[in-house]
Amino acid sequence: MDRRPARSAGVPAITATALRPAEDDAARLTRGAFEELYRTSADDLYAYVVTLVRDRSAAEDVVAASFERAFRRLASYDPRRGSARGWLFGIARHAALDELRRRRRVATLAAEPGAPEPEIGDDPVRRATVRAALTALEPRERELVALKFFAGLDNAEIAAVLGISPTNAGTRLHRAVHRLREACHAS
Amino acid sequence: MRPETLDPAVAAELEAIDAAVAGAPGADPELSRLAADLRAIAPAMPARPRAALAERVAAGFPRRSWRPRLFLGTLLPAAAVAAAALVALVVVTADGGPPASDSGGGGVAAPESASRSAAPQAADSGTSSGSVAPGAAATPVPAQPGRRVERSARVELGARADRFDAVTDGVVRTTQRHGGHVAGSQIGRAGSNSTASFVLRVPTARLDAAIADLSRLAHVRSIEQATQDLTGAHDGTAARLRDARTQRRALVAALATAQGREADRLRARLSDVSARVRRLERELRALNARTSFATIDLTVTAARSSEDGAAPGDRWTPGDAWRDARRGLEVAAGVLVIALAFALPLALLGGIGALGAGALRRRRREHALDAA
Repeated sequence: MDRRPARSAGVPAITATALRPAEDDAARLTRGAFEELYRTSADDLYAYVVTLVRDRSAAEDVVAASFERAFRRLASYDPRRGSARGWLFGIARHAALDELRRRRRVATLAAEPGAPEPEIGDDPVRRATVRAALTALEPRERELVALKFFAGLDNAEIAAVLGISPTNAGTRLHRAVHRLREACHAS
Repeated sequence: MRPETLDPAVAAELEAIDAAVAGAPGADPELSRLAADLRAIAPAMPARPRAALAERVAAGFPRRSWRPRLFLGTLLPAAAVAAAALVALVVVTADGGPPASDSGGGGVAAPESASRSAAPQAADSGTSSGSVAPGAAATPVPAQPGRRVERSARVELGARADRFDAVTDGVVRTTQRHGGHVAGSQIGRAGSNSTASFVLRVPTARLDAAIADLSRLAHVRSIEQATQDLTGAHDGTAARLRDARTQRRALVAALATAQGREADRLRARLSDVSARVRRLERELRALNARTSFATIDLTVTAARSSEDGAAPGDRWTPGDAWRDARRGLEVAAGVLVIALAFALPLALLGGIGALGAGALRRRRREHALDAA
């Protein structure tokens, strides 16, 4: 399977979806399938975890711990319960929430010193607006946006990660996107 | 997703979002732009940690050191089961192992302790056992000074088939040696299985010694003793007898000088009192008989593959080895059952605790997100 392109402007999320290991729904994860999962999910996972913990360096540790934990639990993955990608994001969510419990503090993304700003090309003002609107969302809404737009998970996968019903996930996602759009318009 | 439970407008909006995320050509322009903007601002992992992680993934996340979780997850449950098995072993061996299959009611005693267990029980007003042979000659020998106690015992002996006759002969000789007699006996033989039942009457003062000697004849399966204090009944009967005799003497003296109708009346009363005296004398004799002689209900059972083993001094045979091996297996089975009885509730409690801990952990995680 082709290596996923490095994240840059204009990379469609559909690429990540198409590159999900074909063995997910058919069999347990093999070592090779896990490595493929890593290549196709690492960046998205990092973006999601940063959204939760709002600390890049902590997010690096959480992402590494998540992949290690998933590797140790390869035998426990059951494709009947969801995709490997959703399973991985569920592990990362638990690890991120555990990190939040340990830290018991919040570091805003925008305030992190020396954080590299991505080259955004088209409209830096609009994208800064989107970033500010995302930051201003409630944590749960921010998480939903990250799962949908950063990770490219479908509603069923989002529901599995959050431990709620797909209908509930769809309703919450709709509300979160609506508020994000309102915040963008208000800015 | 259950579109039938979603508001149609919400469902349509979600489809539009999915189309925008997927970059579909006909997607809503605003949503598509929002999706593109979000992807553009998504944080990217720096190169160095990404490379380090890629190395670890390729190497299969080699372990740095001995993980304590392995101990907790594997060895700790094994240690708990081993501890439960040890407790079970102590319980089983302290109890003397599995009970004999054909032991009688309470009071199981090993052969070595038969003589000790034949020590006299407390002469209290306990339950009275059964059989007392009727018509026994009354030799008034009080069991204890000032007290009238009826004593009885039930003894079960187990003997090998080749020693059955010797044991039954020994029962009779032992009883006679202690001044007693066999009030009744019954012997039955069915192939190599034989059973003998005796009703023995021995002087109450010799009961303990008689039981001790009888216990040495074969393997003791059970010994039960019972006592009943008849002092009150005896003294009451004796007192009534004295009163009745006194009344009779008075009537005899009065009759010597009475005449006519008065003499007839006195003779009638004398007849009644005399009858009462005779009845009380019979009751007192019966009470004396009950307290002067004790009753032993003794049973001897023999079988080809008797589990009773050898009487002291016999040789150890392959049959004894088989019995010992079987006993060992019985003990092991008992240990296993008791260990499971300890381990299963603990496992259940552990499972409930784990479920509760998991639910608490989930709540705390969600709370951490709300506080973020």
